[in-house]
Amino acid sequence: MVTSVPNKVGNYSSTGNGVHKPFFDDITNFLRRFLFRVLSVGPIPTHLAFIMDGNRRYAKKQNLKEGEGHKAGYLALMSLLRYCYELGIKYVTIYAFSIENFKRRPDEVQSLMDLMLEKMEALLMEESIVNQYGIRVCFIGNLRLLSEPVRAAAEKVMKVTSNNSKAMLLVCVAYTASNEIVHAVEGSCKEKEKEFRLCNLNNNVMDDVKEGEKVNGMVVHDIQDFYEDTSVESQGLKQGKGCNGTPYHACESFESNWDQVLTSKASKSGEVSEGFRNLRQEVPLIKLVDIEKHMYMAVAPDPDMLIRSSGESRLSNFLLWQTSNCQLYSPAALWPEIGLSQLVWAILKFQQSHSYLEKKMKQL
Amino acid sequence: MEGILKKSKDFILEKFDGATLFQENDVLLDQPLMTLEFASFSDGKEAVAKAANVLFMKYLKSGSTSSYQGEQIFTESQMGEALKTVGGNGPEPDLLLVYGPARCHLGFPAWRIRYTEIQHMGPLKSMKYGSLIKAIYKFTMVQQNYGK
Repeated sequence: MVTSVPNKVGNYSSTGNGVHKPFFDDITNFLRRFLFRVLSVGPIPTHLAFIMDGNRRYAKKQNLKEGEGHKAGYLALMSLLRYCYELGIKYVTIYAFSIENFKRRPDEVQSLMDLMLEKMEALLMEESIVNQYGIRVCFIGNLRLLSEPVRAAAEKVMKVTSNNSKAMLLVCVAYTASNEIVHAVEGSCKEKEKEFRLCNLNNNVMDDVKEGEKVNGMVVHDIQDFYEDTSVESQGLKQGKGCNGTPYHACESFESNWDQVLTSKASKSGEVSEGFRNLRQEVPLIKLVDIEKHMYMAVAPDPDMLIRSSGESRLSNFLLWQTSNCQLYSPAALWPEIGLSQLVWAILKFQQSHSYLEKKMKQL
Repeated sequence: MEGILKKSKDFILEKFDGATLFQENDVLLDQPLMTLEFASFSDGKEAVAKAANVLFMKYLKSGSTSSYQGEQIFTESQMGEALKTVGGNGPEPDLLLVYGPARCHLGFPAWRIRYTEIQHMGPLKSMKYGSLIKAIYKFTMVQQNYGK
């Protein structure tokens, strides 16, 4: 069982030494809950995002071994999460590991992965924070970039907590905003393409039902032939693909092939060509809502505030799409030093700018 | 929806003798004149939607799309290129100064501010030369690892 020892007023961190001061704990808990009640008189953010910056600098500053900075950072995260959920903040997002972080030394990457795996397994325990506060955990990012054990653990945590509904913890791993945007565009393309194919299939079936010259089944068969022809040709093109530039040239030459196939099919059966002549005019367009739907972060509303520790003022490819109306705050403290006072200050800053940002959001 | 600065850009350029309008393929280094580019809210998410349609057309024309199931279809550089063709991808600013009541980038094109330092300068009417110099000084003291 984990025991808590307060080290600063209102803060608590877990240590294993078994010292337990119930009276002091009760007083600090009471004061903190009172403070939260006072803060709650004003607006409280629904969604907070954190960039956990400064673990390595903290380790250097405290003359610790390199990995210890991240472990101290984990403890700070756990305290902060408890405060957030106590305060009634429903969604918390953390930037745990960027795709850019894979560029670090392999042993550092491996130790971070090991730490994540260990902490994911801890989340599955009975007395973990997810059960205490009814938290649903979502891992956000290109999880295929993770090693198999880490990815499997992440999937397991997501599955086990999928029924929790009191709060949500979004952990961004193997994530960058640019990767997220490209992924959302890809998802929209695949969806619209399916829609497009089905739409044309239906159109051709309807045309023939009207004309009554061909049986439905025969028309579908012809369309399938058409797609098989094009797939054979495109296979050849794909093999000829070199670096990123070439697919576009391949596509241009393929356009003329597409026309040839169309006209050759047209001479085979007049009814089918009618439908295909209309193909280009009926292509469904991708709208903004389609892209939004396919974002990894679509499971939660946009964050109200983004807090980056260590005083740095950039976003580093984090939640660029979702922060149009999000207040940015950069306390100077390194991540393991972040505690209750920084959170309270952040909430006050949020309350200060809240009405202005609400107004901005409604304008657009 | 174009912003008011974009709509008044001719008027603004008249006021500056030493400034030219940013052109698509401009190289930024060693410019004799200051280059001005006007961006508005529509250059952000809406430009991404337009770029998505450019990429979608290419995707459809590439033929058999069923073989792409589960695979990555586009790279980030292809996305950048597509954004450029719809006019939503200029150079990435090193420093973004936010004048207004809140520290928020208000929908500045996401693709361009990945590693941009965002500094809040306060309300527009309290703009001073000294605070601008201070912001630039703060910028020069920053050290970026770019993930490493």
